[in-house]
Amino acid sequence: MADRLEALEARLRALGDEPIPLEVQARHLAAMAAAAAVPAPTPLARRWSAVHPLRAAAAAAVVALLGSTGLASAGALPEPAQRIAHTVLGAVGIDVPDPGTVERPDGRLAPADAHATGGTGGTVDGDDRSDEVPASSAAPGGTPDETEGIMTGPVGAGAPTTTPPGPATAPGTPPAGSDGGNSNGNGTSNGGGGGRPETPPTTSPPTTEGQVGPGGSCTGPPPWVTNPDMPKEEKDAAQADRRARCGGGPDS
Amino acid sequence: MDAGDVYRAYARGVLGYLRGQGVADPEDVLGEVFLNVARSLPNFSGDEEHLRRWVFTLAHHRIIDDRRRRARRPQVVDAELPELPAPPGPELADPELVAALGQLTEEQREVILLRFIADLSIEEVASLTGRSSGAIRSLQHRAMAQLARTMRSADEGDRVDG
Repeated sequence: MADRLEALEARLRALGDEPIPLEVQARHLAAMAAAAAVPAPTPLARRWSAVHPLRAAAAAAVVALLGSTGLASAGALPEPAQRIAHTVLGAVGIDVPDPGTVERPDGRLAPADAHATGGTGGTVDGDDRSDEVPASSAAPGGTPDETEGIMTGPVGAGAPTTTPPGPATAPGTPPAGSDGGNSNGNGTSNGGGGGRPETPPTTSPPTTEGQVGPGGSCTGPPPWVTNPDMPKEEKDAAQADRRARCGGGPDS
Repeated sequence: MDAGDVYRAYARGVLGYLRGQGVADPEDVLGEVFLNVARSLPNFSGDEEHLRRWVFTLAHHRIIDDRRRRARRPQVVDAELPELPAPPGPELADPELVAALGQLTEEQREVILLRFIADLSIEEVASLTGRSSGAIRSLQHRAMAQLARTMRSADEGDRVDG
């Protein structure tokens, strides 16, 4: 019986040793060579699982950052988000629009509420009124002040917020070294002792941080210091104006 | 070892396994099995025993696919076919043994072929077929006894006929 089983096993093993016709072998080997040349397609699920979760998260963060920065640059974010983006990105030197400002037709920026409400506070020199805000659009109080050519009007009317206010050079005040000659409300020099030709009215940006009168800005040296030739009446008026607006002593 | 070497080493055994399983077109299926081998070989790692087991596992799965496909295919026989002489097929080394294998159950035949043609161990066959080692031993014992009986009957019949 054991011999019979051994013989049977030998016949079974011989079944797995039958030769393969040469033409069949050649066909198979050619097909295998062609298949080996083309890499097997990777299943989609395996490709997704090969993406490391950290890499995916980093890519998503980069996309979100770039996308939100782009939207902020375009001013397309909701107002609170735009304000935060303006503050945060401004700190790192990226200029994004402030939702509190709107672009005027001349391309300059102005506070949005100035257009909306006309504004109530702040004064700007009358010179700015003439070339930047039509008289008809001036807010109440935007007419030239009778005394010193001061126009009381909307803060933002013609006030570029992107330009820092010039503390020492009050609107309408000629640059230092021009021998005085304060500009009055009509844009003409008052001929402050120098007799110089009339200086075109300066377009130095009016401040939005407070009123500026003949006494100059509350910060920086008063005009009678920068202009020692100022007539006494004008100096007194300027000192009174400055005291009234800024408080403190006459030389403050 | 490249795919060609694997073919030369194992193609004969796989072809015998396919024939013993009664696959309709064993040479075509052999080609498909080794196409899989060629595509997947770069991802394979292991020694020669692992390689043998892997190749026969591919053949085993290919046979299962083939059977499922044939089971789904509708067989419509609505007329008696004329009896034609069978075309001359490839000469089998042992047609009597192949016929005797056809008398076994599917499980018995599977175990016998994997044990003696694929040359896998009891444990490897158990792992491949999803059965216990004891079940494989039992199947093998009964299958060999059945084969021996069938072959002896055939021999006695030949002697009576002769």
